[in-house]
Amino acid sequence: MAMSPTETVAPSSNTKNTVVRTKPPKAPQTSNSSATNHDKPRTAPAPQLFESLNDEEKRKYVKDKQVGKGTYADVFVGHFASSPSTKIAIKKIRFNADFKDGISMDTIREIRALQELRHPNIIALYSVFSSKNQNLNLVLEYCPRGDLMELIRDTDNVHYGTADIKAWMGMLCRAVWFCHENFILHRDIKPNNLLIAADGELKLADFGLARSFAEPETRMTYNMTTRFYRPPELFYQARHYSGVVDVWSVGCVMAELVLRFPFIQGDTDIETANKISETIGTPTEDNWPGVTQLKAYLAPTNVVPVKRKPFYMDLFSSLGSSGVDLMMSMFALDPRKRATSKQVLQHEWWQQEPRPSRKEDLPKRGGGVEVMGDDLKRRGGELPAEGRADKVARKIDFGAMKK
Amino acid sequence: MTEDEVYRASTQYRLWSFTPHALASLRAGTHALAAEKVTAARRSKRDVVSRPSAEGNGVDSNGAEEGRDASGGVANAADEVECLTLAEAQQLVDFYCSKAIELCNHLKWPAAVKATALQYLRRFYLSASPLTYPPSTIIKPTIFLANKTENHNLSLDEYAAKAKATRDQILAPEFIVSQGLRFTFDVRHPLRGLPGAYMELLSLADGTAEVLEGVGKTAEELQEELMALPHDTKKANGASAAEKAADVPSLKRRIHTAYIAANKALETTALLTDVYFLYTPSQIMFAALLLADTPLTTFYLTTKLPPASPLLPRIRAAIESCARILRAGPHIVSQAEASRLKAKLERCRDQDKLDLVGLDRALKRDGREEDVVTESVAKRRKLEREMSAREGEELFGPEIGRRA
Ligand SMILES: Nc1ncnc2c1ncn2[C@@H]1O[C@H](COP(=O)(O)OP(=O)(O)OP(=O)(O)O)[C@@H](O)[C@H]1O
Ligand SMILES: [Mg+2]
Repeated sequence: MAMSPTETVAPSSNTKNTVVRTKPPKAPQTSNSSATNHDKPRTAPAPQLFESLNDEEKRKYVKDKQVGKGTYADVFVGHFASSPSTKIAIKKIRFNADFKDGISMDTIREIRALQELRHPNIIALYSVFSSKNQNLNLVLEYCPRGDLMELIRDTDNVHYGTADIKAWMGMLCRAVWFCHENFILHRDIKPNNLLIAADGELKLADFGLARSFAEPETRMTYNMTTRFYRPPELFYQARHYSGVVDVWSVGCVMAELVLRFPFIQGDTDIETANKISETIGTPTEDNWPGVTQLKAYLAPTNVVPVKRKPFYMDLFSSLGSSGVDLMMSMFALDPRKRATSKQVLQHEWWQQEPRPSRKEDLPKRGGGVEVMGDDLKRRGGELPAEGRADKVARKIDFGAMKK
Repeated sequence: MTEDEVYRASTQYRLWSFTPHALASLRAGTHALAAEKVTAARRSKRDVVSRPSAEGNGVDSNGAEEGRDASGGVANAADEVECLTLAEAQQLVDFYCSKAIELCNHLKWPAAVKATALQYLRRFYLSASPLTYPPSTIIKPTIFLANKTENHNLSLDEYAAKAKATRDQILAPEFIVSQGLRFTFDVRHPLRGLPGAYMELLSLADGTAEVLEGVGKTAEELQEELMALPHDTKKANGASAAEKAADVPSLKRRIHTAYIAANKALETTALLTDVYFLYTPSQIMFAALLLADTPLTTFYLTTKLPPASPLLPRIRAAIESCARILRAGPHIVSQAEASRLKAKLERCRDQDKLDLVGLDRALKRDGREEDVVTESVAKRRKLEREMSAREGEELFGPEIGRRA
């Protein structure tokens, strides 16, 4: 809770801000940018009406070619007008004719979250400006090396080991912890929202579903997170949930990094919920007091006892015993028993051998070749219908693993 | 990373915190720019109008011409338009802020949504002037924006009906407001920390508090000191001022009373003054508690920091100066005075921005062609997800107290 009055300075004093945080690339910045003047002491900015602030901001960036397409945005690579070698990504929000209530909630959520979050493992938002006709443009840190899903899926060309997994997971967990520290839930953590920067740093991106959980009584919606990465409390439509929904998703990413296909898959919500029950264990009053009271709780026809360590050791032995402990703590069915993002970071696994790989040594996609624009073909979050992952998945029969 | 560092990374600190002097000069600068624009436009119009009729009856016919536009006939004789002064402009903003609180209360919205809406309004008017964007056209859209950013999710149609405005009136300025907010939507509220402080005080009263390192006392000792605290002498609370809280239940009642009073101050006074621009959320929260119960809060503060901490005097000074602002409260002008200011504004407002709805429509009309989107399945799916989420909120929303 942010209530200890431990501010070292009253905000009204003009001391220099000493916080270290990610800086935009070395391109020259003026003090008027909404997202870049964070290192300046807060003296009175030169008075300027906001319209001219925006125009000034817009002129700083140049759009080049398109590199990605999301559900509601086109993503371009671009550069600073003043520094053509410094690349940026410009996410241009498409006008959404279907959303009749003004600026869409996705956009608002994404901007709101990213404006607050400055962390090496969270995609940096340098600026927001509107181009003519009220198009919103988000100027983002450019990630030329694709996303984690591409690496996970490309089993032919991309090879990695536990040290690499630990490095990626470490970066992901720090990002998630930081979000939670700022009272922001991401709610859509999955491999294709984890982008890879030029230096190999992993960046949590796509905050279109993020929301604040500052208010203890805030009601939450449950059908957000992409299905495979969604925790059981959301399937049961719990109305009050917290940071640990993201922790479940992080656990799913960890498992997927090892397996190289999604750990828990289903074609429908019900199927996926059943998969959780089969794979992790069936939620009952014993392992999760109160679960039967949840709105969408379905009494199970077949109660699978909560899986114990040997089950995980069989599948994830490469992580080592303590890695498996960590993963199991993220898969606690009862959200109250699940590890928080802080506890995850405090886990002993991080200190153990092998040490995480250095980011410059992490594997690159396609074995290193940069394939620009290929994301245009892929829809977010979808599996290639006849993909390898599918075949492998079929080989492992989760049903047969029940003890 | 400490709490302080987290806070300093926030946009509230980076973009929306000022020294009193910086805040004042920002407002003055904004007002001067807007007033100059109005005056310049007025002057050039006058030049155009006056040239053909210059030889004729001069001033009078000019005046008639001008009166058609905006002036009520007072300014036409003088060379300059009589503009709202900086102070008047601010009074008008403050007045509409109090109206905004009324609307949020009428809508029975959670405090956080109301508080965000109010802070949006105050932030917006740092780099925009009422001369350009009269508050009467801005408050309803701004409140709706807060409804969205705080995930309150009342639909536009419902809101428009309740706020007695058209959809266009709500939506047209949305972009302008967002721009004025420099697309920073997050507001950190002192209200957020208050329940935590309340719980801590209760556990101090119970003698079960977790004592911070360096405070140098046990929980029991703290409990004893708390019981022995005098009541606020300045407050003439009749009997309760005389008696001392001798037992735990009465101590808890005292804490509760302070909590309620602080909560009220944070939901009203704090939103109508400049404290958000000048202090951190925790300082504001402590200031509200201090006003509610000075001895209690002064004591509580000593449990939060080691007595020897060099920070203590500075923090205390900040909290006290914030409390002074809260105590003085906002100065909201009377309805009559507000009407006078509104009338005056009508005569001097920026003629380019008279029709926000029309301007917005023109922009959107042009924009649509450039950005026609081929409907993708994925997009539909996402929207459906959004819609069903919203329906979920609506259907099951009202039962906040479901757990109870
Ligand atoms: N900063 C970036 N650098 C490089 N490429 C990016 C960047 N941001 C996004 N992209 C590319 O654009 C694609 C779409 O971006 P993003 O996921 O943010 O959009 P979206 O509309 O939220 O999509 P969805 O909701 O479908 O995932 C990404 O999958 C990625 O390929
Ligand atoms: Mg995405």
